[in-house]
Amino acid sequence: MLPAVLAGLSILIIGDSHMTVPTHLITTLHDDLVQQGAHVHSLGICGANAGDWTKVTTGTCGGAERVDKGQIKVLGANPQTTPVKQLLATDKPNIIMIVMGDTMAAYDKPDFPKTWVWQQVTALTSDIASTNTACIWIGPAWGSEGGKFGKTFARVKLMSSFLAANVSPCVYIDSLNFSKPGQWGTVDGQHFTAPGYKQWGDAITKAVLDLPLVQGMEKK
Amino acid sequence: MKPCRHLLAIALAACSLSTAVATAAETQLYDTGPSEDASFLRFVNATAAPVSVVPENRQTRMVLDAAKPATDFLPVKANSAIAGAIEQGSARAAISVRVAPGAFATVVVLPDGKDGMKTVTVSETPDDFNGLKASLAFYSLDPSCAHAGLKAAGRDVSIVDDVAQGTLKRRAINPVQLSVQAACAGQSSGAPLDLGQLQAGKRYSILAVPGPSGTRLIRAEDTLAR
Repeated sequence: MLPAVLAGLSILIIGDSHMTVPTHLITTLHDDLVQQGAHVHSLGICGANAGDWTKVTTGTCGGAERVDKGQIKVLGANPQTTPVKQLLATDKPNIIMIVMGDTMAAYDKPDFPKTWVWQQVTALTSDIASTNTACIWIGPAWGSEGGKFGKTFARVKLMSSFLAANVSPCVYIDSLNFSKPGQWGTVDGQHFTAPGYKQWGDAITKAVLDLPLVQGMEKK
Repeated sequence: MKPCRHLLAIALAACSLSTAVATAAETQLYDTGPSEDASFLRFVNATAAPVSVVPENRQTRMVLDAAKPATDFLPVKANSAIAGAIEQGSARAAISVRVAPGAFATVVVLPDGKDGMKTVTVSETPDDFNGLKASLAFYSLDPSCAHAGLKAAGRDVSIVDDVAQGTLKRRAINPVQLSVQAACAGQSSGAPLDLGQLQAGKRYSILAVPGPSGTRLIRAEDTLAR
């Protein structure tokens, strides 16, 4: 068994649909971080984009919440986001992690809405920066092309590159590095089968543990 | 035996795959982005006296004066006519602006003649969003400043040069302490403007406009209204 290298750290994870279903990261990533000793609060709102976490916004396709080793609490069909500054004031986590990218990539649109994405991303990162909370942004993974969201490898690569350049002061974890395009099976092009979410959660956890930001906290 | 083992392996793999699929709940369809990119509009007062921006069919008005010469970038519907007026004393100028998807438009109120005013709209569709650099735009809006440019004050270091009248140039720069000065035909013009410590990820605009003694610089941060 690995040593609990995150012992004593508290982590708040907010995200989109990748955090709302039991087979998704709300189980795999969450469990991995708990196993590493962290106190973890996960909150997923399906379809939420970054700006939705700066104000109360009603989701349209479900949500879920989980604390430490507790059960996943399903939040109903139309859950509301809680503004991130309010979440951070309540939880006072050492680290906030954001799992987001697919909901803003406009896969089914011909043009990438760069100005809108910049607006969304900087609204969230500036609210987080104002609290001086350490921040890690988890970018989208490859998925597979097509499906009901119309995901394409070219667009997810563009989305990930954009996030890498614009999520500062959050540290960016590029999920495209964890697999080859199409390697992890999906149910709809965008959401992975259970093995895919297991591999994604494990890869994120390893990347988090390797971050100088996190290693610096471990030594304190 | 080998073919049978092979078939068994395929069957087990198929079984494993179908189980994985069955345990992954289908997520409902949702929008992954807007049908049209966001658009923004702001106003800058480059005259010596306060002006009011009066949106059409609105009770509210925004006053722009020396202390606060620029509005934030206000979100607007792309390609829709944004109508209103600019008022200064008894003078009134109607405005109508359409902003393209993804664009940031700036309506600048400029002095015109002895007591008059006029508006110029300058638009940009940035392609340089970068949280690790500061972004500095230079607007050339002083007709008396030929081949307008911007340089680091006190140093012969050009930041942007040869910007055509009524247009802008933008560039990414390191987030450093910076003081700037207008350059007209390569020569320093007007007073330097201290920008202080630039911040990574922030976007800034410097407008060169007509002043009482040469080109005057106005600073406006490209802040989005929330």
